[in-house]
Amino acid sequence: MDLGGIVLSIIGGVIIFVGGLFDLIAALGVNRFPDFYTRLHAITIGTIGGAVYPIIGSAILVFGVPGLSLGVRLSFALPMLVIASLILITAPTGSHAVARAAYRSGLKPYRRVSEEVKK
Amino acid sequence: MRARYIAVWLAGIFIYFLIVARITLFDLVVAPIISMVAALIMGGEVVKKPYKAFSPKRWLYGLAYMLYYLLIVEPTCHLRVASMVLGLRDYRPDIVEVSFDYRTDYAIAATANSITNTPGTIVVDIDPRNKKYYVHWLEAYTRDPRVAREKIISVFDKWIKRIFED
Repeated sequence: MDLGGIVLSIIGGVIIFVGGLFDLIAALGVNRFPDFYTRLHAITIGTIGGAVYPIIGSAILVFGVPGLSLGVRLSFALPMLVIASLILITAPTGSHAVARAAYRSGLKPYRRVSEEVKK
Repeated sequence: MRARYIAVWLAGIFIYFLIVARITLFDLVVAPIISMVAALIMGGEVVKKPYKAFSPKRWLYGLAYMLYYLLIVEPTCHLRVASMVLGLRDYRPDIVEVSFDYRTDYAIAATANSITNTPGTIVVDIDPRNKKYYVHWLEAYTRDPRVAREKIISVFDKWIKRIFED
């Protein structure tokens, strides 16, 4: 394996690993955060950090795989970048829809007890 | 008028070749035909001012914004909210009003998407008449609209205006 391939493999692997950590943190956040809106933030970590970044990492990793022609590498990497872009565009659309539904149905955001007492 | 359709047609061909990632005779024949069908259906609605779609400067700004967003803005926000999840950082969630001064739907949608894609801020509603986003913010230590605007959308504002506004 040439040096460039090793570097790309390491970068891609690290991004995928970090993506896995973000997914774990997102799962923790969904459990630990107190209400619907705050849990949406945790889910965003899972969607962007836990899906978009690992897909980009996979695209980088593919470029480091030895013994593949440039055409084959591109045929894996380019669609991955398209998928990552599509998630970036479509994921917030879903978040907007559920957040707007919750907001319009009158769901109040969580506040600390001390803040409620002050009011 | 035709430029609208040509813009969507070219975008369709570009996306087709990105997805199939190969150039064969079959693709060279199929890509323009499929893209033309898509352009005829959607061209009139999707593009209003075609000169923007053909501006290399806007595309370059778009690419630079994408890199800035993915390499700096997103990791920063991810780490901040991750530290809140792990209990290392305090948070104060609330819904705040954030005003905007965009005229195009693309700019409004792109900023809303950028806000929602960064953990810590989620657009829960938009008031296009009064030009306001209602944003659920994990660090709402102030409800002052000017401060909220500065902290939430000033990062995206100048980029989005250069890419989508006149």
